[in-house]
Amino acid sequence: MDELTEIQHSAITEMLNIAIGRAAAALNDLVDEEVSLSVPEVIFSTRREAGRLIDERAGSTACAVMQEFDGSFAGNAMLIFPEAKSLALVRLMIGEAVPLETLTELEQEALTEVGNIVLNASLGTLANLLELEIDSSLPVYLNGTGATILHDAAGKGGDEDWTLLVEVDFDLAASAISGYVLLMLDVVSAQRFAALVDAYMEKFMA
Amino acid sequence: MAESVFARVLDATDLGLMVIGPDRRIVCWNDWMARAAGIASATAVGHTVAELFPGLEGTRIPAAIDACLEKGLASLLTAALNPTLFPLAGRQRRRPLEQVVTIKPVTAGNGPRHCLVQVLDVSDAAAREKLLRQQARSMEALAENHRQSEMRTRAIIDNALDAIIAFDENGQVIACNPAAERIFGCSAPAILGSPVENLVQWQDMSGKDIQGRVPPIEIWQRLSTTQGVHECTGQRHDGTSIFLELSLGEMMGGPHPVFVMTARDITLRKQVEARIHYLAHYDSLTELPNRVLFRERLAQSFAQSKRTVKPFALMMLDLDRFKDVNDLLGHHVGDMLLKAAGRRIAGTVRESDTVARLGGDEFAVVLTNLTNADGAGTVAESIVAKLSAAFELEGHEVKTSTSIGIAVYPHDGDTPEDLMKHADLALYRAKAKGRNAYQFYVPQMDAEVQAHKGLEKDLRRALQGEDVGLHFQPVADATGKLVGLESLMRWHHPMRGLLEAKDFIPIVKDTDLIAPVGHWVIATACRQLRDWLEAGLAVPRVAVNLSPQELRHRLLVPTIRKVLAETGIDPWLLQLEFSEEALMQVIDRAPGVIEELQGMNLRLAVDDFGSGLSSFAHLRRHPVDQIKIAPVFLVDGKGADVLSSLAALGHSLGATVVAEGIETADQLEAARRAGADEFQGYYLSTPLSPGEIGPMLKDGLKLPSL
Repeated sequence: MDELTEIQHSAITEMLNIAIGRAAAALNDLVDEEVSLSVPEVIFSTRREAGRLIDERAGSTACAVMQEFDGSFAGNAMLIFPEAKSLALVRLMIGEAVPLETLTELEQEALTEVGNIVLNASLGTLANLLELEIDSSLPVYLNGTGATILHDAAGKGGDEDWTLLVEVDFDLAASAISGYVLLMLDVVSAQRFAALVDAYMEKFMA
Repeated sequence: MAESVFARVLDATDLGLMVIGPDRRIVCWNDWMARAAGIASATAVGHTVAELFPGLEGTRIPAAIDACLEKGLASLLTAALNPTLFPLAGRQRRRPLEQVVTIKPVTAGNGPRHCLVQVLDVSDAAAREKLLRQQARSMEALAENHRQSEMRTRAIIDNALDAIIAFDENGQVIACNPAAERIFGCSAPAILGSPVENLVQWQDMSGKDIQGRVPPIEIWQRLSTTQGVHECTGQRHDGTSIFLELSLGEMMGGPHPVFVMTARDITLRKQVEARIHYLAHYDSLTELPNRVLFRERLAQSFAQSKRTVKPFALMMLDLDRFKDVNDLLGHHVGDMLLKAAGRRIAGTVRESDTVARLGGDEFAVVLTNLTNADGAGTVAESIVAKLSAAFELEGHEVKTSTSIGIAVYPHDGDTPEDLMKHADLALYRAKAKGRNAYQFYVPQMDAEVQAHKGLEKDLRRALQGEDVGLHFQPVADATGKLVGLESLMRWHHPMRGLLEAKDFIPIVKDTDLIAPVGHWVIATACRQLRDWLEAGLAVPRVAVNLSPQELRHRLLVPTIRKVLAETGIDPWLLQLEFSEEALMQVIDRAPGVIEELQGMNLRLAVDDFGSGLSSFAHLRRHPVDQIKIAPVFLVDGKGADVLSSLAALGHSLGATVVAEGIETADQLEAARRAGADEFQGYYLSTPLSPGEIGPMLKDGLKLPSL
């Protein structure tokens, strides 16, 4: 697949910025704390490379809330934290004074809901902007190394398949919690996505 | 058919299901929902969720349904993040249902998008978690309690002044507190893991019987079961030894024995105790054993001597005329003499013998393991010789000597008291014999000394009463005219009869009785003078005799001044008589006294002139008013030449010359011819009582003359 053009790259960055901005606002409502975001980074890489990236960011085990989507193009959207941070985030939200060593079932679900809110905000915004027709799946909680998570998230396909990664960091400075949103598209979807981006730009330039 | 099976399946499903159409109206409502919401399917279908549950307005449920229908977004809603979900009853109906709601888009073919809402009952999981949290909270509380208790225990251990050290069955230290670091002088890392034997010497506490033969663990277990504290030595990191007082306990309950030792550093206390023991047992000046330790050693010597059947000797000694050194050269030099003398004595005896200072200038020596008593004599002789050599003290050449009394066990006494008493008696005798000598105890000393002691006691009493009085022997000139009276003490002893001064003065001259006796003689003589004067009699001079001890006594001058003031006697009427020896001593040891007495206008006379060793030079420098020539020269009328030489010498010194002891007319004649000015003796008159003297003075009675 060809690399994205610089214009496509900027457009995607801008759209994602808006989408994740919504997500941040949603997260902000939940935790009642200032959430800061980085400029999205758009990267073409193999899945192996993507897995390595997740590991690098998480430090050790990561946990992720993943939603698949299908429609105009298909892919996975993920909210990823280092596992220790996920515990902190859940406790921050449900205000539990006595922490258990691992996430309980209900806490996992609560964390999943947090991911769901953030991812829905992103996907919904993206769909609005690009006038997409997509259906999303229910959010799923995953944890493990980057490779395990990617395998569980998108079983089909090999390590060498190209994917488009869009990565946005967010930080809850007061609670020292940080994580990131990752949008993963296969090659075909990425091409469709690029085409939609082109159409979006044409609409604006016309 | 298929339609109705699907409806049955939906109703049989164990979760709440509802399907919402694009127009927001419910198209499907299963039995589970009907039961939990209390709304029949027939009622629900055709209504919107907002109509069925008005309380949900503004919550995430309607928003999620909208997002699903409009954007195809699926949502998950949990009780943790949503205060309000569907108002549904649980199976037991008593509590609201714990639920998780999922909302997802469902599209059949190209048909419109529907929304599937599922409600899951998570009451069981919630109950489980609630329990889990309760347990976690209890655990946390327990852990906190434990932490607090641990902190308190730690604070106690860390702040304890005593070292607290735990070690395992192999003696390896496994824990210690800061006091242990301080007491043993090294940091915790250096102590931990090291053998506890590096710190504590157990063998001190286990006694010789088990040292080196019993495994250490048995010592520890034995100490653990023994009540109280144990003393032992320990070692600091720098190698210095310390004294420890410790207790040991064995910690039960673990898989292996652990011992906990509490150790207190008592080094300082031990040092103080040692110092106190030293101070209590040694004389601080000479560093010799004191009376207390001497008594202990003496008692030991008895025991030892009984065991070995060898005699031992006790020597009592003092320095002759030590007081004079103190008086003349000061206490500082006196102290130095005591130290030096102590060293010389100690240097003369064996290491195993004891030399003690009992106080003042009194020393005692215990010679043990003697073959026979003669050995003690040899040692005594050697001590006498060593102490008579001059001491060089701060530029002064100080000469002293010693007298030693010796008593030997078993011959001279069975008890320490007897032996000490007898050695003292022997010392007394040695001094009486003329000092610078030693004397073994012999039983008759006891009686003799007892007699002396009795006499002293009697005299002390007699001075207060009527039994002691003065007699007066007249002195005449060549014409027989009374020119003087010599007062002489007479003591009517109730048992011994009439005693003269020579019978008792030698006995009391070295006792503290000598000053009262001197005072008594002077006062009595002066009162007699006053009485005669008040009776209107013409009184000649009255002489009193002073022993060397009296003449140099520091109270002599004050006593005379006081008596003269009391009686109002003209000092020129009082004559002090003393020997040449006394004159030499007073010049030597109490310089200025002769001048002082002369300054008071008292008459001074040297008695027994020519019998002593007077230095002519001294006599020239301290001229006296009168010299009395000893009667020895008049025996048999011989020695007339010597007599005339002495008289000439006396005259040349400016003194009148008295010949005393005149017993015959020939002697009187010889003395007159030799040049004597005045005469005294039985031939002229015996000593007379005051009652006899009175009429003599009144009548101007003449004595025999030539």
